[in-house]
Amino acid sequence: MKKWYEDERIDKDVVISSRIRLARNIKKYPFSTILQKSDIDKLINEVKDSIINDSNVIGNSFEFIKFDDLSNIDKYSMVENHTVSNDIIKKNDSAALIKNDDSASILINEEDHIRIQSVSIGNDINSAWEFANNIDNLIEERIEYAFDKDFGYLTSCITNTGTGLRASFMIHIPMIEMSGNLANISRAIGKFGMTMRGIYGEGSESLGGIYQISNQITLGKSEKEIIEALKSVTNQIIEQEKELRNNVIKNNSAKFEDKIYRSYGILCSCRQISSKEAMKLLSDIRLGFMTGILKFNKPEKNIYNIMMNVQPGNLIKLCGKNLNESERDIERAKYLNEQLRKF
Amino acid sequence: MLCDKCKKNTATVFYKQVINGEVTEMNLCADCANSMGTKMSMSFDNIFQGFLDGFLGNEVPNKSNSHVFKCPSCSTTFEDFRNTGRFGCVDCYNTFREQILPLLKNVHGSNIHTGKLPQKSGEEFLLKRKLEDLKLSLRKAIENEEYEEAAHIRDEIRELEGGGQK
Ligand SMILES: [Zn+2]
Ligand SMILES: [Zn+2]
Repeated sequence: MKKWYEDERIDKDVVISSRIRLARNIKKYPFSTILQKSDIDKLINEVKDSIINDSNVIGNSFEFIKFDDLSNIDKYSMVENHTVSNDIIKKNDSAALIKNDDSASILINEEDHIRIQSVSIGNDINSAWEFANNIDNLIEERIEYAFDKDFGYLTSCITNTGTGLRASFMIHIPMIEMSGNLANISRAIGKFGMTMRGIYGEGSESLGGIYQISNQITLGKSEKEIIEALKSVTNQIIEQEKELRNNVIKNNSAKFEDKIYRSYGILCSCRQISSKEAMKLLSDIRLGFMTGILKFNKPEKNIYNIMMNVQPGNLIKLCGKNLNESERDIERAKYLNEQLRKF
Repeated sequence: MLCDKCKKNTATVFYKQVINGEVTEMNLCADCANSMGTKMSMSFDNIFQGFLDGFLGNEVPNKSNSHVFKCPSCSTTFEDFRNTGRFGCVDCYNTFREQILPLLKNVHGSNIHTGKLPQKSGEEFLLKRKLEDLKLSLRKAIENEEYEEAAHIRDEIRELEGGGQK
Protein backbone atom coordinates (compact mmCIF):
# COMPACT_ATOMS: atom_id res chain seq x y z
CA MET A 1 0.00 0.00 0.00
CA LYS A 2 1.38 3.38 -1.04
CA LYS A 3 1.68 5.73 1.93
CA TRP A 4 0.24 9.23 1.76
CA TYR A 5 3.71 10.76 2.21
CA GLU A 6 5.00 8.90 -0.85
CA ASP A 7 2.68 10.84 -3.14
CA GLU A 8 4.52 13.09 -5.61
CA ARG A 9 1.90 15.86 -5.22
CA ILE A 10 3.50 16.68 -1.86
CA ASP A 11 6.28 18.65 -3.57
CA LYS A 12 3.82 20.92 -5.39
CA ASP A 13 2.86 23.35 -2.63
CA VAL A 14 4.25 25.44 0.22
CA VAL A 15 1.81 23.43 2.35
CA ILE A 16 3.09 19.88 2.74
CA SER A 17 0.10 18.52 4.58
CA SER A 18 -3.08 19.48 6.44
CA ARG A 19 -3.95 17.74 9.65
CA ILE A 20 -6.89 17.33 12.04
CA ARG A 21 -6.78 15.91 15.54
CA LEU A 22 -9.82 15.30 17.74
CA ALA A 23 -9.45 14.52 21.45
CA ARG A 24 -12.22 12.39 22.94
CA ASN A 25 -12.88 10.55 26.19
CA ILE A 26 -15.35 7.85 27.15
CA LYS A 27 -17.88 8.91 29.75
CA LYS A 28 -17.76 5.79 31.93
CA TYR A 29 -13.99 5.60 32.50
CA PRO A 30 -11.63 7.85 34.49
CA PHE A 31 -9.19 9.75 32.26
CA SER A 32 -6.10 7.93 31.02
CA THR A 33 -3.80 9.49 33.65
CA ILE A 34 -5.41 7.39 36.41
CA LEU A 35 -7.02 4.58 34.41
CA GLN A 36 -6.46 1.05 35.83
CA LYS A 37 -5.07 -1.77 33.70
CA SER A 38 -8.37 -3.72 33.64
CA ASP A 39 -10.23 -0.65 32.39
CA ILE A 40 -7.50 0.13 29.87
CA ASP A 41 -7.98 -3.31 28.32
CA LYS A 42 -11.73 -2.73 28.08
CA LEU A 43 -11.18 0.75 26.65
CA ILE A 44 -8.85 -0.55 23.96
CA ASN A 45 -11.23 -3.32 22.94
CA GLU A 46 -14.26 -1.06 22.83
CA VAL A 47 -12.56 1.51 20.60
CA LYS A 48 -11.16 -1.23 18.38
CA ASP A 49 -14.61 -2.83 18.01
CA SER A 50 -16.21 0.51 17.17
CA ILE A 51 -14.03 0.74 14.05
CA ILE A 52 -13.25 -2.85 13.11
CA ASN A 53 -16.60 -4.63 12.95
CA ASP A 54 -18.86 -6.36 10.45
CA SER A 55 -21.14 -3.42 9.85
CA ASN A 56 -18.69 -0.96 8.39
CA VAL A 57 -16.33 -1.22 5.45
CA ILE A 58 -13.90 1.44 6.57
CA GLY A 59 -12.66 -0.82 9.36
CA ASN A 60 -11.03 -3.01 6.69
CA SER A 61 -8.48 -0.30 5.95
CA PHE A 62 -7.35 -0.02 9.59
CA GLU A 63 -4.77 -2.14 11.33
CA PHE A 64 -4.78 -2.57 15.10
CA ILE A 65 -1.46 -2.34 16.95
CA LYS A 66 -0.33 -2.40 20.56
CA PHE A 67 2.73 -0.24 21.19
CA ASP A 68 4.16 -2.66 23.75
CA ASP A 69 4.52 -5.22 20.92
CA LEU A 70 6.57 -2.91 18.69
CA SER A 71 10.34 -2.43 18.59
CA ASN A 72 11.71 0.99 19.51
CA ILE A 73 12.84 1.54 15.94
CA ASP A 74 9.34 0.90 14.60
CA LYS A 75 7.95 3.30 17.16
CA TYR A 76 10.46 6.05 16.32
CA SER A 77 9.81 5.57 12.64
CA MET A 78 6.07 6.06 13.15
CA VAL A 79 6.72 9.25 15.08
CA GLU A 80 9.14 10.52 12.42
CA ASN A 81 6.44 9.96 9.78
CA HIS A 82 3.93 11.78 12.02
CA THR A 83 1.69 8.71 11.97
CA VAL A 84 1.50 8.62 15.77
CA SER A 85 2.39 11.09 18.50
CA ASN A 86 5.60 11.14 20.47
CA ASP A 87 3.54 10.84 23.67
CA ILE A 88 1.84 7.57 22.84
CA ILE A 89 5.02 5.59 22.21
CA LYS A 90 6.23 6.52 25.70
CA LYS A 91 3.06 5.29 27.36
CA ASN A 92 2.56 1.74 28.57
CA ASP A 93 -0.61 -0.11 27.54
CA SER A 94 -1.32 2.18 24.62
CA ALA A 95 -2.71 1.06 21.30
CA ALA A 96 -3.74 2.45 17.94
CA LEU A 97 -5.67 1.81 14.78
CA ILE A 98 -3.62 2.86 11.78
CA LYS A 99 -5.04 3.38 8.30
CA ASN A 100 -3.21 1.36 5.65
CA ASP A 101 -1.81 4.44 3.87
CA ASP A 102 -0.85 6.02 7.24
CA SER A 103 -3.18 8.97 6.52
CA ALA A 104 -5.25 8.41 9.65
CA SER A 105 -4.76 6.96 13.08
CA ILE A 106 -6.86 6.48 16.18
CA LEU A 107 -4.65 6.59 19.24
CA ILE A 108 -6.03 4.80 22.29
CA ASN A 109 -5.04 5.63 25.86
CA GLU A 110 -2.71 8.54 25.14
CA GLU A 111 -3.31 11.75 27.15
CA ASP A 112 -6.99 11.25 26.32
CA HIS A 113 -8.78 7.94 25.77
CA ILE A 114 -9.12 8.57 22.06
CA ARG A 115 -7.21 10.81 19.68
CA ILE A 116 -8.43 10.73 16.10
CA GLN A 117 -5.87 12.00 13.60
CA SER A 118 -6.33 12.54 9.91
CA VAL A 119 -3.98 14.05 7.37
CA SER A 120 -4.37 15.12 3.76
CA ILE A 121 -1.81 16.06 1.13
CA GLY A 122 -1.11 19.75 0.56
CA ASN A 123 -3.47 22.59 1.33
CA ASP A 124 -6.64 20.54 1.82
CA ILE A 125 -7.72 20.62 5.44
CA ASN A 126 -11.40 20.10 4.62
CA SER A 127 -10.73 16.53 3.49
CA ALA A 128 -8.82 15.82 6.69
CA TRP A 129 -11.68 17.27 8.73
CA GLU A 130 -14.29 15.26 6.86
CA PHE A 131 -12.47 12.01 7.44
CA ALA A 132 -11.80 12.65 11.14
CA ASN A 133 -15.39 13.78 11.65
CA ASN A 134 -16.71 10.58 10.06
CA ILE A 135 -14.49 8.42 12.24
CA ASP A 136 -15.69 10.41 15.25
CA ASN A 137 -19.33 9.69 14.34
CA LEU A 138 -18.54 6.04 13.74
CA ILE A 139 -16.98 5.62 17.18
CA GLU A 140 -19.89 7.44 18.77
CA GLU A 141 -22.34 4.90 17.36
CA ARG A 142 -21.05 2.46 19.97
CA ILE A 143 -19.43 4.63 22.61
CA GLU A 144 -20.81 7.41 24.81
CA TYR A 145 -18.37 10.30 24.91
CA ALA A 146 -17.65 12.52 27.91
CA PHE A 147 -19.55 15.66 26.96
CA ASP A 148 -20.79 18.66 28.92
CA LYS A 149 -23.40 21.07 27.60
CA ASP A 150 -21.27 24.08 28.59
CA PHE A 151 -17.74 22.76 28.15
CA GLY A 152 -18.27 20.46 25.17
CA TYR A 153 -16.02 17.42 24.81
CA LEU A 154 -14.22 16.93 28.10
CA THR A 155 -10.50 16.29 27.99
CA SER A 156 -7.87 15.46 30.55
CA CYS A 157 -6.19 18.85 30.08
CA ILE A 158 -8.37 21.95 29.86
CA THR A 159 -6.30 23.28 26.97
CA ASN A 160 -8.18 20.82 24.71
CA THR A 161 -11.67 21.12 26.20
CA GLY A 162 -14.56 22.06 23.93
CA THR A 163 -14.05 20.89 20.39
CA GLY A 164 -10.95 18.85 21.27
CA LEU A 165 -9.80 20.03 17.86
CA ARG A 166 -6.25 20.69 16.82
CA ALA A 167 -6.13 21.73 13.18
CA SER A 168 -2.72 22.25 11.65
CA PHE A 169 -0.80 22.90 8.48
CA MET A 170 2.72 21.66 7.88
CA ILE A 171 4.33 24.40 5.82
CA HIS A 172 7.72 24.74 4.13
CA ILE A 173 8.75 28.38 4.47
CA PRO A 174 12.54 28.54 4.03
CA MET A 175 12.47 32.08 2.60
CA ILE A 176 10.54 33.49 5.55
CA GLU A 177 12.96 31.70 7.84
CA MET A 178 15.91 33.28 6.01
CA SER A 179 14.29 36.71 6.10
CA GLY A 180 14.41 36.64 9.90
CA ASN A 181 10.71 37.45 10.09
CA LEU A 182 9.61 34.24 11.84
CA ALA A 183 9.54 35.63 15.35
CA ASN A 184 7.29 38.47 14.21
CA ILE A 185 4.90 36.11 12.49
CA SER A 186 4.89 33.80 15.46
CA ARG A 187 3.99 36.68 17.76
CA ALA A 188 1.31 37.97 15.40
CA ILE A 189 -0.46 34.63 15.04
CA GLY A 190 -0.33 34.19 18.82
CA LYS A 191 -2.80 37.04 19.05
CA PHE A 192 -5.25 34.98 17.00
CA GLY A 193 -4.94 32.01 19.35
CA MET A 194 -2.61 30.13 17.03
CA THR A 195 0.91 28.85 17.40
CA MET A 196 3.86 27.88 15.25
CA ARG A 197 6.19 24.99 16.06
CA GLY A 198 9.00 23.05 14.44
CA ILE A 199 8.48 19.95 12.32
CA TYR A 200 8.48 17.62 15.30
CA GLY A 201 6.16 19.69 17.44
CA GLU A 202 6.40 21.13 20.90
CA GLY A 203 9.89 21.77 22.16
CA SER A 204 11.52 20.61 18.94
CA GLU A 205 13.73 22.90 16.91
CA SER A 206 12.78 23.61 13.35
CA LEU A 207 14.40 21.48 10.69
CA GLY A 208 14.49 22.06 6.95
CA GLY A 209 12.44 25.26 7.09
CA ILE A 210 9.34 23.23 7.96
CA TYR A 211 6.87 24.53 10.52
CA GLN A 212 3.52 23.48 11.89
CA ILE A 213 0.94 26.15 12.44
CA SER A 214 -2.05 25.21 14.56
CA ASN A 215 -4.91 26.54 16.67
CA GLN A 216 -4.54 26.70 20.44
CA ILE A 217 -8.07 27.77 21.26
CA THR A 218 -10.49 24.84 21.34
CA LEU A 219 -13.46 26.31 23.22
CA GLY A 220 -15.99 28.99 22.28
CA LYS A 221 -15.51 28.63 18.54
CA SER A 222 -17.01 26.04 16.25
CA GLU A 223 -14.79 23.60 14.38
CA LYS A 224 -15.56 25.45 11.16
CA GLU A 225 -14.62 28.82 12.66
CA ILE A 226 -11.35 27.41 14.03
CA ILE A 227 -10.44 25.85 10.68
CA GLU A 228 -11.40 28.91 8.63
CA ALA A 229 -9.36 31.23 10.87
CA LEU A 230 -6.35 28.94 10.62
CA LYS A 231 -6.74 28.77 6.85
CA SER A 232 -6.81 32.53 6.45
CA VAL A 233 -3.75 33.08 8.66
CA THR A 234 -1.86 30.29 6.91
CA ASN A 235 -2.75 31.64 3.48
CA GLN A 236 -1.23 34.99 4.42
CA ILE A 237 1.99 33.25 5.45
CA ILE A 238 2.01 31.29 2.18
CA GLU A 239 1.60 34.50 0.19
CA GLN A 240 4.50 36.06 2.06
CA GLU A 241 6.71 33.04 1.33
CA LYS A 242 5.78 33.14 -2.36
CA GLU A 243 6.47 36.85 -2.59
CA LEU A 244 9.93 36.40 -1.05
CA ARG A 245 10.65 33.60 -3.53
CA ASN A 246 9.62 35.78 -6.47
CA ASN A 247 11.72 38.67 -5.21
CA VAL A 248 14.87 36.65 -4.82
CA ILE A 249 14.46 35.14 -8.29
CA LYS A 250 13.92 38.58 -9.78
CA ASN A 251 16.66 40.45 -7.92
CA ASN A 252 19.26 37.95 -6.85
CA SER A 253 18.87 35.07 -9.19
CA ALA A 254 22.55 34.14 -9.68
CA LYS A 255 23.25 33.97 -5.97
CA PHE A 256 20.06 32.02 -5.29
CA GLU A 257 20.76 29.54 -8.07
CA ASP A 258 24.31 29.07 -6.82
CA LYS A 259 23.10 28.31 -3.30
CA ILE A 260 20.64 25.68 -4.48
CA TYR A 261 23.12 23.98 -6.81
CA ARG A 262 25.75 23.93 -4.05
CA SER A 263 23.27 22.20 -1.77
CA TYR A 264 22.51 19.75 -4.53
CA GLY A 265 26.22 19.11 -5.03
CA ILE A 266 26.76 18.32 -1.37
CA LEU A 267 23.79 15.95 -1.19
CA CYS A 268 25.05 14.07 -4.24
CA SER A 269 28.65 13.80 -3.10
CA CYS A 270 28.87 13.90 0.67
CA ARG A 271 30.29 10.89 2.52
CA GLN A 272 28.77 11.61 5.92
CA ILE A 273 26.06 14.03 6.96
CA SER A 274 24.01 14.83 10.05
CA SER A 275 20.22 14.82 9.83
CA LYS A 276 20.17 18.52 10.64
CA GLU A 277 22.44 19.43 7.71
CA ALA A 278 20.63 17.01 5.42
CA MET A 279 17.31 18.67 6.27
CA LYS A 280 18.74 22.11 5.56
CA LEU A 281 20.10 21.07 2.16
CA LEU A 282 16.97 19.10 1.23
CA SER A 283 14.98 22.22 2.03
CA ASP A 284 17.06 24.07 -0.59
CA ILE A 285 16.37 21.27 -3.08
CA ARG A 286 12.63 21.42 -2.46
CA LEU A 287 12.78 25.17 -2.94
CA GLY A 288 14.84 24.63 -6.12
CA PHE A 289 12.27 22.31 -7.67
CA MET A 290 9.30 24.47 -6.66
CA THR A 291 10.82 27.64 -8.11
CA GLY A 292 11.98 25.91 -11.28
CA ILE A 293 15.65 26.63 -10.54
CA LEU A 294 16.41 22.91 -10.53
CA LYS A 295 15.27 21.77 -13.94
CA PHE A 296 16.49 18.19 -14.34
CA ASN A 297 14.44 15.17 -13.44
CA LYS A 298 13.17 15.07 -9.92
CA PRO A 299 14.11 12.10 -7.75
CA GLU A 300 11.54 9.31 -7.69
CA LYS A 301 10.67 9.99 -4.09
CA ASN A 302 9.27 13.37 -3.14
CA ILE A 303 11.65 15.56 -1.15
CA TYR A 304 9.49 15.52 1.98
CA ASN A 305 9.58 11.73 1.97
CA ILE A 306 13.38 11.81 1.64
CA MET A 307 13.47 14.24 4.57
CA MET A 308 11.50 11.75 6.69
CA ASN A 309 13.67 8.85 5.58
CA VAL A 310 16.93 10.44 6.76
CA GLN A 311 15.64 10.68 10.35
CA PRO A 312 17.40 8.25 12.73
CA GLY A 313 14.55 5.74 13.18
CA ASN A 314 13.65 5.52 9.51
CA LEU A 315 17.28 5.29 8.48
CA ILE A 316 17.93 2.38 10.84
CA LYS A 317 14.76 0.69 9.58
CA LEU A 318 15.88 1.19 5.99
CA CYS A 319 19.33 -0.30 6.66
CA GLY A 320 17.84 -3.16 8.63
CA LYS A 321 20.46 -2.97 11.36
CA ASN A 322 21.21 -0.89 14.42
CA LEU A 323 23.54 2.06 13.79
CA ASN A 324 25.28 4.47 16.12
CA GLU A 325 25.36 8.16 15.31
CA SER A 326 28.49 8.20 13.15
CA GLU A 327 27.39 5.07 11.27
CA ARG A 328 24.06 6.77 10.67
CA ASP A 329 25.79 9.83 9.21
CA ILE A 330 27.59 7.59 6.71
CA GLU A 331 24.47 5.61 5.77
CA ARG A 332 22.49 8.84 5.46
CA ALA A 333 25.06 10.20 3.00
CA LYS A 334 24.89 6.98 0.94
CA TYR A 335 21.10 7.12 0.87
CA LEU A 336 21.06 10.78 -0.22
CA ASN A 337 23.71 10.20 -2.93
CA GLU A 338 21.56 7.39 -4.27
CA GLN A 339 18.28 9.31 -4.23
CA LEU A 340 19.59 12.51 -5.79
CA ARG A 341 22.40 11.56 -8.17
CA LYS A 342 20.10 10.90 -11.09
CA PHE A 343 20.77 13.20 -14.01
CA MET B 1 13.67 6.02 27.01
CA LEU B 2 15.96 8.44 25.23
CA CYS B 3 16.28 12.13 25.97
CA ASP B 4 13.96 14.21 23.76
CA LYS B 5 16.57 16.88 23.26
CA CYS B 6 19.88 15.19 22.48
CA LYS B 7 18.26 11.83 21.60
CA LYS B 8 21.43 10.17 22.91
CA ASN B 9 21.39 9.82 26.68
CA THR B 10 18.79 8.08 28.79
CA ALA B 11 16.07 10.43 29.97
CA THR B 12 15.86 10.77 33.73
CA VAL B 13 14.05 14.08 34.18
CA PHE B 14 10.46 14.82 33.26
CA TYR B 15 9.93 18.44 32.27
CA LYS B 16 6.64 20.26 31.92
CA GLN B 17 5.83 23.85 31.25
CA VAL B 18 2.94 26.00 30.09
CA ILE B 19 3.46 28.85 27.71
CA ASN B 20 0.39 30.71 26.48
CA GLY B 21 -1.77 27.83 27.64
CA GLU B 22 0.22 25.29 25.59
CA VAL B 23 1.60 22.45 27.68
CA THR B 24 5.07 21.30 26.75
CA GLU B 25 6.29 17.96 28.07
CA MET B 26 9.79 16.60 27.66
CA ASN B 27 11.79 13.69 28.92
CA LEU B 28 15.36 14.87 29.33
CA CYS B 29 18.73 13.52 30.36
CA ALA B 30 20.46 15.26 33.24
CA ASP B 31 22.77 17.26 30.96
CA CYS B 32 19.98 18.60 28.80
CA ALA B 33 17.80 19.26 31.84
CA ASN B 34 20.57 21.45 33.20
CA SER B 35 20.98 23.40 30.01
CA MET B 36 17.19 23.75 29.72
CA GLY B 37 17.03 24.83 33.34
CA THR B 38 18.77 28.05 32.53
CA LYS B 39 16.25 28.70 29.77
CA MET B 40 13.20 27.73 31.74
CA SER B 41 13.46 29.94 34.73
CA MET B 42 10.58 28.22 36.49
CA SER B 43 9.39 24.64 36.61
CA PHE B 44 6.01 23.73 35.24
CA ASP B 45 4.46 23.58 38.69
CA ASN B 46 5.45 27.08 39.49
CA ILE B 47 4.30 28.39 36.18
CA PHE B 48 0.98 26.60 36.24
CA GLN B 49 0.32 27.63 39.79
CA GLY B 50 1.26 31.19 39.01
CA PHE B 51 -0.92 30.95 35.94
CA LEU B 52 -3.93 29.89 38.04
CA ASP B 53 -3.29 32.31 40.86
CA GLY B 54 -3.07 35.14 38.42
CA PHE B 55 -6.59 34.52 37.17
CA LEU B 56 -8.35 33.36 40.27
CA GLY B 57 -6.84 35.93 42.59
CA ASN B 58 -8.21 35.57 46.10
CA GLU B 59 -10.70 32.92 45.11
CA VAL B 60 -7.97 30.30 44.99
CA PRO B 61 -8.62 27.95 47.90
CA ASN B 62 -5.76 28.02 50.34
CA LYS B 63 -4.06 24.86 51.49
CA SER B 64 -5.94 24.55 54.78
CA ASN B 65 -9.35 24.15 53.17
CA SER B 66 -8.37 22.61 49.87
CA HIS B 67 -9.64 19.20 51.06
CA VAL B 68 -13.12 20.56 50.40
CA PHE B 69 -12.36 20.57 46.71
CA LYS B 70 -12.06 16.90 46.00
CA CYS B 71 -13.69 15.06 43.12
CA PRO B 72 -16.11 12.49 44.62
CA SER B 73 -15.41 10.02 41.79
CA CYS B 74 -11.65 10.06 41.44
CA SER B 75 -10.44 11.97 44.54
CA THR B 76 -8.49 14.47 42.46
CA THR B 77 -8.15 17.68 44.46
CA PHE B 78 -8.01 21.15 43.00
CA GLU B 79 -4.45 21.22 44.25
CA ASP B 80 -3.63 18.10 42.19
CA PHE B 81 -5.09 19.85 39.18
CA ARG B 82 -3.04 22.95 39.90
CA ASN B 83 0.10 20.87 40.06
CA THR B 84 -0.36 18.65 37.04
CA GLY B 85 -2.74 20.60 34.83
CA ARG B 86 -4.74 17.38 34.41
CA PHE B 87 -8.15 16.29 35.61
CA GLY B 88 -8.75 12.70 36.72
CA CYS B 89 -12.23 12.14 35.35
CA VAL B 90 -15.37 13.64 33.86
CA ASP B 91 -16.77 14.51 37.30
CA CYS B 92 -13.80 16.74 38.05
CA TYR B 93 -15.33 19.23 35.60
CA ASN B 94 -18.51 19.36 37.70
CA THR B 95 -16.67 19.43 41.01
CA PHE B 96 -14.44 22.31 39.99
CA ARG B 97 -16.89 23.99 37.62
CA GLU B 98 -16.81 27.36 39.36
CA GLN B 99 -13.02 27.38 39.70
CA ILE B 100 -12.27 26.58 36.08
CA LEU B 101 -14.75 29.03 34.53
CA PRO B 102 -12.33 32.00 34.71
CA LEU B 103 -9.46 29.74 33.78
CA LEU B 104 -11.14 28.47 30.61
CA LYS B 105 -12.08 32.02 29.78
CA ASN B 106 -8.47 33.01 30.00
CA VAL B 107 -7.06 30.06 28.07
CA HIS B 108 -9.70 30.07 25.32
CA GLY B 109 -11.35 33.47 25.55
CA SER B 110 -14.63 31.69 26.28
CA ASN B 111 -16.09 29.05 28.56
CA ILE B 112 -19.02 27.93 26.44
CA HIS B 113 -18.77 25.25 23.76
CA THR B 114 -20.38 26.21 20.47
CA GLY B 115 -19.03 23.45 18.27
CA LYS B 116 -20.01 19.91 17.36
CA LEU B 117 -22.54 18.00 19.46
CA PRO B 118 -22.58 14.24 19.91
CA GLN B 119 -24.79 12.75 17.21
CA LYS B 120 -26.91 10.62 19.53
CA SER B 121 -27.43 12.67 22.67
CA GLY B 122 -27.01 15.82 20.62
CA GLU B 123 -30.70 16.69 20.22
CA GLU B 124 -31.17 17.36 23.90
CA PHE B 125 -28.07 19.59 23.96
CA LEU B 126 -29.23 21.30 20.80
CA LEU B 127 -32.60 22.14 22.36
CA LYS B 128 -30.92 23.54 25.48
CA ARG B 129 -28.55 25.61 23.40
CA LYS B 130 -31.36 26.98 21.25
CA LEU B 131 -33.38 27.93 24.34
CA GLU B 132 -30.42 29.73 25.84
CA ASP B 133 -29.87 31.64 22.61
CA LEU B 134 -33.54 32.60 22.43
CA LYS B 135 -33.61 33.77 26.04
CA LEU B 136 -30.60 35.95 25.33
CA SER B 137 -32.27 37.52 22.30
CA LEU B 138 -35.46 37.99 24.33
CA ARG B 139 -33.53 39.95 26.95
CA LYS B 140 -31.91 42.05 24.22
CA ALA B 141 -35.21 42.72 22.49
CA ILE B 142 -36.76 43.92 25.77
CA GLU B 143 -33.74 46.11 26.50
CA ASN B 144 -34.08 47.67 23.06
CA GLU B 145 -37.84 48.08 23.61
CA GLU B 146 -38.62 45.95 20.58
CA TYR B 147 -41.74 44.49 22.14
CA GLU B 148 -43.24 42.99 19.03
CA GLU B 149 -40.03 41.05 18.40
CA ALA B 150 -39.89 40.08 22.10
CA ALA B 151 -43.41 38.65 21.98
CA HIS B 152 -42.45 36.65 18.93
CA ILE B 153 -39.36 35.20 20.65
CA ARG B 154 -41.36 34.44 23.81
CA ASP B 155 -43.84 32.39 21.78
CA GLU B 156 -40.97 30.50 20.24
CA ILE B 157 -39.49 29.73 23.66
CA ARG B 158 -42.87 28.49 24.95
CA GLU B 159 -43.25 26.26 21.95
CA LEU B 160 -39.79 24.74 22.41
CA GLU B 161 -40.23 24.24 26.15
CA GLY B 162 -43.66 22.70 25.60
CA GLY B 163 -42.18 20.36 23.03
CA GLY B 164 -39.55 19.28 25.50
CA GLN B 165 -42.13 18.33 28.15
CA LYS B 166 -44.19 16.10 25.90
ZN1 LIG C 1 19.96 14.88 26.50
ZN1 LIG D 1 -12.61 13.30 39.00
